[in-house]
Amino acid sequence: MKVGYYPGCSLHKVAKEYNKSTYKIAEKLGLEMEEIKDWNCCGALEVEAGNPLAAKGIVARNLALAEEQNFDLLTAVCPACTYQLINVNRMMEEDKQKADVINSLMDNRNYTPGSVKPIHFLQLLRDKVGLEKIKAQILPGNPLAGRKGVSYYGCFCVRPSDIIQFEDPDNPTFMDDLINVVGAETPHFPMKTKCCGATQLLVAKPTVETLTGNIIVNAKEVGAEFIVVACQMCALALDGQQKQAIKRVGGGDFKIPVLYFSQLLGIGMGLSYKSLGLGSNYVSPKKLMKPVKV
Amino acid sequence: MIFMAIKTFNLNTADLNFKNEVVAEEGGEHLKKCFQCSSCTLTCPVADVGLDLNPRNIIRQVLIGMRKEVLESKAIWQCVGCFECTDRCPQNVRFTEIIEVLRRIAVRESKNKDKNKRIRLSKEGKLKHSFDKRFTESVWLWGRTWEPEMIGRYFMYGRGFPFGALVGFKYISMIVGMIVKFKIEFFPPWNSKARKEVRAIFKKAKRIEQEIRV
Repeated sequence: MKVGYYPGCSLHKVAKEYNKSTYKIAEKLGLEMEEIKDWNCCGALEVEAGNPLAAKGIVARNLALAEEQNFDLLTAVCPACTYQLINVNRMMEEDKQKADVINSLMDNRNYTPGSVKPIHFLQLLRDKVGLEKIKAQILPGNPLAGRKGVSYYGCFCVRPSDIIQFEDPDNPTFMDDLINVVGAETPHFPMKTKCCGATQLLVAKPTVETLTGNIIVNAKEVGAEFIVVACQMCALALDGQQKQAIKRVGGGDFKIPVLYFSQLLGIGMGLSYKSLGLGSNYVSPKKLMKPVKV
Repeated sequence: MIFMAIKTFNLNTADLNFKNEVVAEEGGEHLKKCFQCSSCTLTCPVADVGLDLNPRNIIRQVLIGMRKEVLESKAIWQCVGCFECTDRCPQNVRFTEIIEVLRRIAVRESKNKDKNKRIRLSKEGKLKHSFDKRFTESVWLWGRTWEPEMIGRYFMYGRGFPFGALVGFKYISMIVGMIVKFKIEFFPPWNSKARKEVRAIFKKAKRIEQEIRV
């Protein structure tokens, strides 16, 4: 299946391991993922703050590019990008007048609302690939089998639920299914959809540390050996400043590796440590790579 | 225990048109549907850790017309944009978008030429606004963000030149980790086609927005 891929700014370098491992598992699952050419930033929430109309215009440009390059599906792994793409697509479909205004911003491009379906890579795995097909690729004796892991969704993956329309915003379960497929257990994790605050990371660090620390300590309390995320900003908050965050809430002395769901599946499929970019994670997941002793 | 005097608000000074000002902006349309059930505040992660932000309170203040109090408060800048309140709201008020509208009005009014009407942004507001601005400038410059440039300039100028940059030491472990793991892009993303078109979009959007306001 041919799928257009919108990487977004941070996936090229800041979260290169996410990019790398996504490509690897897409290849394994028979998805032909191709980066759309000439893409630009989606603006996240920051451009929208000062220039609401321009923010929509630059997102529409990406959609127009995907349409020009003949992709029906446009997948992104950054949840903020996915939210922007879905939101603008929906807005243009619903409101013809607004669609004309947004289209008039682009000089020589035109986007027909609804011709491209933006979708998060997780949703693509659930709806277009299916759990059975993923299960067939997993090796039974992989190093994660028999361990305990929790899934952490954060905000944009499931919220706002009327726009994203992916999973139950209170208790999303697909990432838990993925962890189970790999052979690990999933203890009940109450902080699954609580925000880590990463959008304010550079503005209000103490707040973010408190929010993040609560999540990490709670994961430890329920007995998790690793946390699975689907957002590079969550990874930056949970992984990149883990030590300070735990210190801020007085959680004691421990480390807990944070994996992307693509890395989780890659480990399950027996892909190498290097090809999944696991060395780039801040907290080294090396101790997860040895099979569990029974 | 020290009892703080409650600051009372004189209703005669209320700006009754404030709510309409918010409703007229894109994203603020649903403001008047709020029936003060407080679902937003109970689910807000920022209110949960004891900061000033209280979504229900802010909506009430906007409806009453406490224009200056709301726009100069630090609470509107503490929102992390997680959409919990939007999702739980039984009336579909979409508070996350309302906060965006309030921030936009605050920034616009901070540049008001009339000195009596000018809004003084809180410290938190100045920081967040500065970050948003650097982000947008980076998108304008390169067609996408180039993190070293954006974050570097934010540290340099957003927090006051030149000693503001010292705050970077708070993030030193993260930055060193990034450099060691080759996660920093040393060269700017040189995609001229995207750059040109993005700049054209910004230019046109600005013109349209001005036409609407006038």
